[in-house]
Amino acid sequence: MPSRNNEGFLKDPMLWSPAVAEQIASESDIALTEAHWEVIHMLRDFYAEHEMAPPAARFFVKAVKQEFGDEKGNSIYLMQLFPGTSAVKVACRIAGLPRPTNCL
Amino acid sequence: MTRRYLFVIDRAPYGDWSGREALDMAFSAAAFDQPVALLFTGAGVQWLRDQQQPAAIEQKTVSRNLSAASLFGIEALYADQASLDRFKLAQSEPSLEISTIGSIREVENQFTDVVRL
Repeated sequence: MPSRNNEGFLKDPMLWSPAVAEQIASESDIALTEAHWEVIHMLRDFYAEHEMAPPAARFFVKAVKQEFGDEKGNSIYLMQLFPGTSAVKVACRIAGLPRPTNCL
Repeated sequence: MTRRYLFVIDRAPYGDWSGREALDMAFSAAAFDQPVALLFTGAGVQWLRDQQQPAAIEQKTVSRNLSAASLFGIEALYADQASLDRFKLAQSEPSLEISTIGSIREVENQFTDVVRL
């Protein structure tokens, strides 16, 4: 496991691998399915393009909606996939991205 | 009355945190569905330049951050022509949609709150 900060986020997103994702997810009792992976890869693509994670829960939903449509781009669906205090934080942690800055 | 926010960025990126803070504020306002736009003027137009490579100073590329603005609901990215000319900004980041303006005052008048950090 690459080095992580005190909230469990990878310090270097380049050191991420699917195996790392599996392990971080298991800490939150999440078993990754195809539905998780498509969001994880979308987040990593978003980060590669914009050099930032979506900085608010609403923007996470918007980004997913733009990619996959209304059925998946809604907060209930994403909270079910990534349960916890904040779906975008949980998803970014699993995707190996830095903690979203300014996360509202 | 609906408030409308214009954040003015008039300093080059990477020298200090003021522009980054303005961007964070703009994104936050947009997250609350407030009408928001950004205006780049003076050395601030350097934010829009293509091929920025700030990795060497361990920073994120501001123009790439900005390319998420329309998805986040930021209404417009304005830049005034005089500043673009002065800083010879022929090539901006291709993923940015920039509205070029002649009169800064005219744009400012469309907003209730004009924020300069």
